[in-house]
Amino acid sequence: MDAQQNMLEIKDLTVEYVVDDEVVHAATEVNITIPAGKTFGLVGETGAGKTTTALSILNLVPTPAGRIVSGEVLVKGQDVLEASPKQLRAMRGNQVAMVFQDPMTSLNPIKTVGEQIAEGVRIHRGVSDKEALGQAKKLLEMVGIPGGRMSEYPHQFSGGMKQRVVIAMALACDPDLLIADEPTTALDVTIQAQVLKLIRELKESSRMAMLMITHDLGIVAQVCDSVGIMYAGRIVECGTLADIFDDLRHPYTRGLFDSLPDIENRRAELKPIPGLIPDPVDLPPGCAFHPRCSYARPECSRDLPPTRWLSDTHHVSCHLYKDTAENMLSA
Amino acid sequence: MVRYIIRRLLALIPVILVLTFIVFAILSMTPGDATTIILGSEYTEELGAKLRVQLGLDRPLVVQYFHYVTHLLQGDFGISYVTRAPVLDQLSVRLANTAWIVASAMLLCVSLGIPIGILSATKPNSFFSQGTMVFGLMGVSMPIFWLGLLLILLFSVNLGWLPSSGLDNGPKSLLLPAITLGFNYMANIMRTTRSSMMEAVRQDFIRTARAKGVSEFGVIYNHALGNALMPTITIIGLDVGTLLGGVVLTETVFSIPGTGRLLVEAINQRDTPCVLGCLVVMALCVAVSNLIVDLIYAYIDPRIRAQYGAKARSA
Amino acid sequence: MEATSTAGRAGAPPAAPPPRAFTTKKEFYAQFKKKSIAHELWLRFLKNRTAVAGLIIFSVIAIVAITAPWIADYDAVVTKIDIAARLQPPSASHWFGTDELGRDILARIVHGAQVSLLIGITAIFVSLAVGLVLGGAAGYYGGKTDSIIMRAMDVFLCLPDVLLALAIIAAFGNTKLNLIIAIGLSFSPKFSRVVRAAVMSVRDNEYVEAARSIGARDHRIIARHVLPNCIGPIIVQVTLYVANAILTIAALSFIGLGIQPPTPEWGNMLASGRTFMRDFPHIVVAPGLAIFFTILALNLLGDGLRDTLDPRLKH
Repeated sequence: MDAQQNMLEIKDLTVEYVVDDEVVHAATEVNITIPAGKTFGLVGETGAGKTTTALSILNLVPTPAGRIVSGEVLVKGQDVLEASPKQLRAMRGNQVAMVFQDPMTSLNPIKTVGEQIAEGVRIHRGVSDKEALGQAKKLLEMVGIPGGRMSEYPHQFSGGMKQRVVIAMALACDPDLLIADEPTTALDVTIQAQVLKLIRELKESSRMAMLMITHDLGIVAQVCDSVGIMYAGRIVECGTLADIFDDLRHPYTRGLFDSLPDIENRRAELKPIPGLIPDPVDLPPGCAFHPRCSYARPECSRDLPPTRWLSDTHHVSCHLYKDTAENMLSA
Repeated sequence: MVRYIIRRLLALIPVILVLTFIVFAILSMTPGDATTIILGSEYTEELGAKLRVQLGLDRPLVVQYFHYVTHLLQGDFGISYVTRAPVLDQLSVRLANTAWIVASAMLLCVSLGIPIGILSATKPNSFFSQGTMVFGLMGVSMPIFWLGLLLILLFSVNLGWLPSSGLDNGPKSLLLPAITLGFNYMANIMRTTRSSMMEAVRQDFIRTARAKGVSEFGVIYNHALGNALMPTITIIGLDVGTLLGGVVLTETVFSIPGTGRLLVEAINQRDTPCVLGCLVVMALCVAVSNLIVDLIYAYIDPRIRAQYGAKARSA
Repeated sequence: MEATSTAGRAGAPPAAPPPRAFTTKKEFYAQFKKKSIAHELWLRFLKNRTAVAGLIIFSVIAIVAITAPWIADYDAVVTKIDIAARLQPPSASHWFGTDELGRDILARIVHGAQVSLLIGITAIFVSLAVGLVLGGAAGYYGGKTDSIIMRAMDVFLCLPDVLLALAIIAAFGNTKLNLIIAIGLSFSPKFSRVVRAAVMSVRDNEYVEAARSIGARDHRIIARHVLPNCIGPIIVQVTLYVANAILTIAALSFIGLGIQPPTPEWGNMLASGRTFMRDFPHIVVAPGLAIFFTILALNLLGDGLRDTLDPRLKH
């Protein structure tokens, strides 16, 4: 793959937060590659480090506490972590846009919705206020909100509509990469479906690449081309949609899929993953998942698992696959 | 919006009425007869009785109050027991002087306090910011009458730069009184602005703005500031009461012939109509400034406006 | 399957003591008893250096105020006039110098502390009592009770503290008792607001509903469930208002309407010393410093208490 073709390349990214003399290992040696026009799903439970990874793409990790220890984040070949503030500002909202998790608090309550959408257009396209507002109107309509509502304030919209506004804001300048951090988590299920539909339509109509962060495998199945599974700050398994859904290899991934209730077998017992997510300040030695893993071996508590490429697209980090490429999980 | 203003103005009236009644009632309990004060050495039983009827002092309290208010609405504050002249005469002259000091103090405080508060919020750990916090704390703890004396010692006695009393020297004579009067006020504004800015900058929508590519300057001034201003404006408006309380002290320290000093003199002379007049005027000022604060709130925050006028459509 | 993530963590709580035979249920449960909340809050308070400084300074002042008669005998030192020794600058025998009547300033300041603190604290407790009743009722019962009480309070809020106190003093004279009542009443509206807000935030919690559902009567619910949880903000405000009250007393005394000479009070000391300030500046330094440090200490303490008691302010 030509490096220039890739919209996003995150290489060995390690991010820490230092709070009260304790170090939180938010993301460790993360590698993600997204080619143009493709959608990558980053899956993991809350606290796994997904948002931190996403924020690093825009170099928005909150600085007094957060620290990017090492790694590179290349957007269209340019290293974001080395860019000047001016270059960063030119990129944010323009080539890379982000939709955050909670629509209730993502919008400025004292500015109209139209102004907030138009702001990005004005900054990056340098057009007049009037033109920018005109664009804002069109964008609102594109996400399914009547254009006349652009002079209204965020509190006048429901949660689902607010999230659409946020999406419109993100798309204002036709970004090449859209980062969506759990865009539907804070919404009701029915609204979730609407917003997802919108996202799917956008994906089909544009050449935009997307990083979809979620903990919901159902969403992944609907919109993603490839998937990365994240646990305690590390990517433990990564592959195409087919790789993960049909040929999963990592015990954690198995646990995630198993914990989904089976609609066809209502009487079966639920199978949650035993134990709790580790404290990011005090991760278990070796493989962070080993205390909860039913396949754990002695070396799991000592050494970090190696990353094994099972195919061109599929890799997994687990001691089970140190010597073999066969599926080590019981059926 | 206009409806909101009218509603608030109308709501103001009962407040003023009740307030003036309370003050009136309190003052009517002043021991000693008004007539003895007025007539002084010329007091006789007969004259006293006649005067009492003349002044309406033999009527029930509520009736007296009713008379007072009706006269008040016509601009008649009654007759001073001491000068035998309308209270309004003294009041209007003195009020102008007080207005000068209060206005200069407010101007000084707002124009210095808010920018300093904003600047110190943008770099919270800098020397400047810590210094602002310290100054803020010292500022609200400082007794202003002491500060006035110290300022006089320094700038009038030692350095001779500024006058120590009166308002006769033009703008120079306003400077020390304004600083003195506004000291607590400004410290409060600074602290509030700083903390509300720091709070505003932590909100999620600031992160959204940054993710859109808005510059730091834009983030602070276009996004954070509007949201942070509310607590600051509350303080600016509601603390007018502190300013008016301080007016009495400042005028005493700097020997300025204003409403505050008039109030103290009137109390000492047991000149009830005058005391009443001063208190009523001051209370009115506070009430009006509260109203202005509410109006500014409604102007800035669309959520408040929505309750009182613009049709709110929720999806 | 055990969670191993907490094993070996630095600063982990000490391992439970080895099990032993329990004879009573109480003993059995006692082994799980954590350090009380008060203890934890105290530790947290201690981390705030400025708050601790405030506590120390105020404690010193309070101790001085309480032991005043033993530090300086009232008749021999505080009120004894000695014209020969008047207006002496600070020296070994008179640490703060002497005032215009030859009295030792330090001794007068010490006694002044007793006066100020006594009146200030008493006045605030009066305020608190009124505020608890009114604010508690308004917050707990809500609805009409709330509207009526709050409207009444709003009226009073239009009159700044000093002015309301002045009105009461104008009518009733400035004895110590009147001062306490005047100041106490002028802070009551503010206290009512604070109590009301605290009560409202607690009232809707589920444990109140639970208590009500088992038939507990209103006053019992208020006393045992609601009020104990409101104590935090109330304590903070008490501290801050005591500072305000002391300042008000000093201010009133400064303009001659508070504590009268020869009783030493920091405010009236500044007022009488003022005439001689030009040539003998030392006379206005010490009393002012006393006021300043007392208020500063209380403000630091109040802010520190607020930070300690507010669970959200972890950053």
